[in-house]
Amino acid sequence: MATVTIDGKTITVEDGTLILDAARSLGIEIPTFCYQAKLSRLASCRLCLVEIEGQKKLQPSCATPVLDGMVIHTQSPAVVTARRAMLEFLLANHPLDCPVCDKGGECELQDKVFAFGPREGRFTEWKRTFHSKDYVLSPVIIKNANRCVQCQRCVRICEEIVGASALGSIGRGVKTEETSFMRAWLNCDHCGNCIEVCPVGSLMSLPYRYKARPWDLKEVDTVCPYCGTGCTLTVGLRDGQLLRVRSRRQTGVNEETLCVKGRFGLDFVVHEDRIKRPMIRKNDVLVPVSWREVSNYLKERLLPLKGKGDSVGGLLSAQMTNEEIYTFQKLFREVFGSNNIDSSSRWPVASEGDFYPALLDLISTGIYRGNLREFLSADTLLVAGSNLTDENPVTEYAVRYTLSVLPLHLFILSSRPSRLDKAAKGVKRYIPGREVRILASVLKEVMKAHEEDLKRTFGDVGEVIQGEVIEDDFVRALSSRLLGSRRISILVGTDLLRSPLAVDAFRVISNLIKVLRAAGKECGLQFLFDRSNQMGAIDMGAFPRDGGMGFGSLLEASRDGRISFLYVLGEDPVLNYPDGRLVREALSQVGLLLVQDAFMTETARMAHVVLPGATFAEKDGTFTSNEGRVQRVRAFYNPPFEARRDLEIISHIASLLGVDLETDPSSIFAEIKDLISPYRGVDYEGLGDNGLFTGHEKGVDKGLHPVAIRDVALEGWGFITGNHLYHSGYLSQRSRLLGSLIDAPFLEIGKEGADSLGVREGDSVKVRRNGQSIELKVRVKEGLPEGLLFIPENFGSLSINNLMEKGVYPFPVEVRKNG
Amino acid sequence: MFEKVLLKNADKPESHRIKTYLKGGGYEALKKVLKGYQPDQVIQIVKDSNLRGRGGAGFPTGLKWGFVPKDPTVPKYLCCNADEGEPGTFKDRQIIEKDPHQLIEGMAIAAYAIGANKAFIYIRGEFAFGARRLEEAIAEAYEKGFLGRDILGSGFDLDITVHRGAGAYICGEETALIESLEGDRGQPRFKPPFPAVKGLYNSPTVVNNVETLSCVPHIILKGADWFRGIGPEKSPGPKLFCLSGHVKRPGVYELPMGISLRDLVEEYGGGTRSGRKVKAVIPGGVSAPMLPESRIDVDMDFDSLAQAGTMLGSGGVIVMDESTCIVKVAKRIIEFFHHESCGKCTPCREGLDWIDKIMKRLEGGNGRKGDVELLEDLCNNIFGKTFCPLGDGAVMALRGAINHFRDEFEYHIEKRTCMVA
Amino acid sequence: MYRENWLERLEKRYRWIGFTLLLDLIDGLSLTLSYLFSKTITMQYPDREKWIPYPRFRGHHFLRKFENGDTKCVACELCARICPCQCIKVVPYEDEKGNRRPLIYDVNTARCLFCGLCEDACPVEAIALGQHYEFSAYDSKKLLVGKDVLMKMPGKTEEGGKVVRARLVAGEKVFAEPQGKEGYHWWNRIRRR
Repeated sequence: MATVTIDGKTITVEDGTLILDAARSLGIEIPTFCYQAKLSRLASCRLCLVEIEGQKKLQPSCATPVLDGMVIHTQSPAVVTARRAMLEFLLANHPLDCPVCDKGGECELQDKVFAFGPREGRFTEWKRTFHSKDYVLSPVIIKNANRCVQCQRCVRICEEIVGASALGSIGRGVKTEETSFMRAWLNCDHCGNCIEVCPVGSLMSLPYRYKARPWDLKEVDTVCPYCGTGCTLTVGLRDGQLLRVRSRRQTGVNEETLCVKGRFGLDFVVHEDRIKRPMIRKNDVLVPVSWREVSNYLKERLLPLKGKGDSVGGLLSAQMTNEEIYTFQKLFREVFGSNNIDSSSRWPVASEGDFYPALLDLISTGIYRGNLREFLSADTLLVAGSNLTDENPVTEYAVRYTLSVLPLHLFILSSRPSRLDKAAKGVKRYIPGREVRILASVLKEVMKAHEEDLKRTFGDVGEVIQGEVIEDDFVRALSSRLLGSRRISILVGTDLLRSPLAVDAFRVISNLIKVLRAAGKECGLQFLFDRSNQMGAIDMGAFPRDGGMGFGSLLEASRDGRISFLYVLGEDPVLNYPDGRLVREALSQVGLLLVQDAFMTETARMAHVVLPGATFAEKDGTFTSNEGRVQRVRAFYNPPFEARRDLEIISHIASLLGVDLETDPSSIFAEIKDLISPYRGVDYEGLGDNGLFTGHEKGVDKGLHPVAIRDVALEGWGFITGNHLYHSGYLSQRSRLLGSLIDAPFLEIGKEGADSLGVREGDSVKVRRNGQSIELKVRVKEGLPEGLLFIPENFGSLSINNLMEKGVYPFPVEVRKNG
Repeated sequence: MFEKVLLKNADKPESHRIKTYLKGGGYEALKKVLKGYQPDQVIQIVKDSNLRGRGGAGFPTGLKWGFVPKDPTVPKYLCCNADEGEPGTFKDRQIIEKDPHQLIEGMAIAAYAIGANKAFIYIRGEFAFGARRLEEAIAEAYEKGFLGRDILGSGFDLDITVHRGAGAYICGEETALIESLEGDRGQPRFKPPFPAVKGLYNSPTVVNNVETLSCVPHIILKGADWFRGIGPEKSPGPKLFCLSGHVKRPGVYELPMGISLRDLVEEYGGGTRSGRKVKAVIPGGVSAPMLPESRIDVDMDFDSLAQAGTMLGSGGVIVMDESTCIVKVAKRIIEFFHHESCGKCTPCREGLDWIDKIMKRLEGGNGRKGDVELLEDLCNNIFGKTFCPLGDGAVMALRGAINHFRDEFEYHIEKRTCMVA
Repeated sequence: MYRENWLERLEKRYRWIGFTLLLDLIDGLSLTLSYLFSKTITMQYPDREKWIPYPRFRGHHFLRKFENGDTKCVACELCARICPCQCIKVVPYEDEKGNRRPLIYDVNTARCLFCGLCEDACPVEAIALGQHYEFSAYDSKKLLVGKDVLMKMPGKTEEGGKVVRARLVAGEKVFAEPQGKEGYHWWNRIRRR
């Protein structure tokens, strides 16, 4: 601890605290430009200079740590003069084109000059100019180098947090320009974090260009509707029109970062594909009707089904709010008396009967409901079954940041190569289905080392791993690292959920956590769901429970004509259920297919009744992120045309059946709070900027599960699927901006595979299976295991699920070079 | 007559060959060190000798070596700063081209003292010939077993790599040199941590000037007392002075520290070429403030020059006679620093650009009333606030010119022409 | 205490003489009588005459243009920001030349109080208040004027501060059309003593 005096006030802080932080905690404002909390220290703007007694020169407070007994002045004449001088220097070559600059009004340079700067300019020479017109760096970024203050925040965030290293400096001295390589078109993530951190209008958002002034914008804080990371974001609206999205400093899990989907992908809410009014199928055509007519129709059809549990089923999107999911499952369980509810977009390949119990067991055993950043401050981090870069970019930023500040050892077990690989201490590629053997081998090693502890905790455990284990560098490195760690964190990705042996994988991980805990280590896991409220959906009970059917079984039952009513809420299984033929066949056999959605999806086109629902932009409620953080979703639009909020529609349907359900999110949440134990400590009104964390559920310790290692055969080529950085579902498909970033679906293939097929980047290949074939452009991706292909899902035009079959993963295909 | 130490081989034929060097007693110091001294003892000898860095700052070399942590598990590096970019300085070049083995021996001893097994010579990109000479010399040294694995059977390994810079003056600053060596932009790093604690590849690193390292073998052979006996007590030793400008006999002179500047100019340099009076002398490269003729009775060592308000720097003495326009000199110096500013920190990047523009305008006959005061104010705003000493150097040079020759600036503004014809 | 001097006392004492001889009335009527033989001061607006205000007058807004016809406005919205009655609405866009220009520039002249702060705030001297003042309407919606109208509005004339001969135009718009530039200032016709 060090005690320092700043401007006459004394404070005791940790050793190594920066003078700047110490001063800010005293409420003393020191202006900065190049300082950014999460980035490396640069100390180049010299705006934060302070006077330290006993030192001749002024010192930059953003890089100088306190020493015990320091006496610091931040308002002395020397400091004030220096500040003014620095601002005068920065203004010397600044073009002062504030009236046309999009940053005008929220520009840090403006604010600082206003607060500390010279009141008149003495610079009468020619200003340095790099170019006369702004130049476009990417579909979302436009650059004006003349305004740059050389704080290098963009370069640093791109390299240190995002990991894209797309920006850099060219030139030297006063001609230094922070831009892309030779000002060329950026081939980066288009995440726009450089725009967010730019203190001036040097890097600007192209979609927001010349649209408004900051003071025109009405800002609403809400949560990103895409992946499960649960970033908070602030939408800016002018005259009720969404103009931009930004993130707030030190708020939420994302802390001023966002990925491309969150920042630029929210324009889907105004897509022309919105369903405008209710529709009923008449003479095999969907005809728009009034709410009254559709209500009468539904009442007539649904009343006989009341209480007929087995012949009805429901599927809802994991992008609905907790309140909607809760009400939906309440409608089914209480009104229809049915447990046939499913929510996942990751429909298990494994048998549903085993999958959900194993998943729930894993959740109750291992989940860490708490801040991701705290979760990551461990000794060892294992990422299993995820291409973090593409699936949960902001989680990846957090991992990369943690790697740069803490001695965290990262191990990656994934089918797909990702950008984090080069930062990892160990990387292992696998063909889905073979990860169980790898994890089990690690488990076996760990168990061998902790035999004593295990005996003490679990008694005689017997042979937990049955089958042959492997020994390679990865297993050795990871297990020895696990043995040497105090705190271990595991991130479980969606690829593991999709694995044909997901149940075994869950059991192995659950065992691993129990064993490591028995050895006195802290160990926990978080999921990397790719839907914004998947965690909430599981918490709310939107999965088959107590003998209910999951969506896979529902489809099979419908194909046999046993389902008379299927309610699909906000989900598009026809496009993304991994068996195109089955889903089409099954849905055509359903007695009454009710689809409630904001957009005219493929499933809606097959429906008997279509109800116009709302997007996340039009409703209030809560999402639960992967961290177990409950956050407020706030409406900033009204449902267009005759669309209604989903909550209102669900309770309207209940009222048709003579049951009253609540429509107010806060009172539903109060009910959730009472009934669902992790939510006990969460108060709807108390959800501030950072949300609140759900509590831990005490799992019942059932000892270790024996696991038999099986083999999954893959002959020839097989493809896996998953999210692309720019696309993660039918929402992103309807974003015009995201659509402009990527022109066509593609096929990723390993280098060896490409050589053996004789294809090169950009070539076209034909992928065939069961008489169905699609054509795709090749992208050669180094690091994909042999025999494995990757095709991004969710490209509507592709109908890739026609090549898929239930119960198989990866999907075996034939690949041929086209032409 | 002072007996030459550093340049004693320079005039011999084939002076750069190892056989010439060995004939003159070369590599004896290395043998002596590897056979009979512990690293700590070497550091102590260098400390006792009061050897101060010849690169410009004059930091005691032994002290710098002493800062390196002793932990044997941490890799350590030695960098030789051969990025001789200061205008008016050309001393290291003499050593590199004429007697490279002297430097290599010095580096080997230094590396042994700090426990480094890898050393780099960061040589200025323009010294293509010097780099070639060094590489040849290193190859010779490897061949004779003075470099490589298990040197002279002592168990000490050392590899030396020659790295050519890309022509940036700032890379002569030690942290910028390290950044450049790592492959990054040549921009200085924040200190602390100092390179001796965290330098190249985040490991302890010592960066020494060519001339400094070349002094080391002689100190080892002849003893710290001999070295301390040359020149003043506080900054002793032989020193290479680079005499240039309007003198009859320009060149590199090896003389003891503490020689009078007037003697250097008039006796060794032979006075001005034209016979005109000396107007001003820059005593230590262009970042050192100039001294008018009336004040050149000063001893050439670190402390005396600091007292006179200037600095020894790298020992680049530039003599200007009465025909010189000081405004033009100042403009040229600022132009250099403006061109070489790396652009990292605000005051140096923007401030020097501003000053450069004013100086060009002023020298071109478009000066305005108040320009001198503005220049002085800008100098005050830059001085002491820059990230590294480059900006300070530029400002000190300009301030020196304004302080001693203010009337010339005023004349330029008023009459829009030079004071001297 | 105030003491009257002798003159005041005298005046007070003999005031009745003036009252009886109606001196004040004659004095006033003589000025009135003299106006009977002077030039008219009443402006014959709008039938025959029209007052052209001074250039400093703050009348209807107009947007200045470059020679190529582009508006000078860069849509910085400072005018909208400073406007005390929030009657200006600006929405920028990027024109085909890459410049920032107003897509919408609406002034609600019904709300405007003609304070001229927008003119002061404008960094490019685009918006200004001109000398035009005949824009009353029967429908307040017509008082909301857009960019096109503002760009066509007459700018400032150097001359002003005079009454010129005019003709009443009563078509769709009703206004007095000036006939010629010669004019007079009504102030000069006021008789003062």
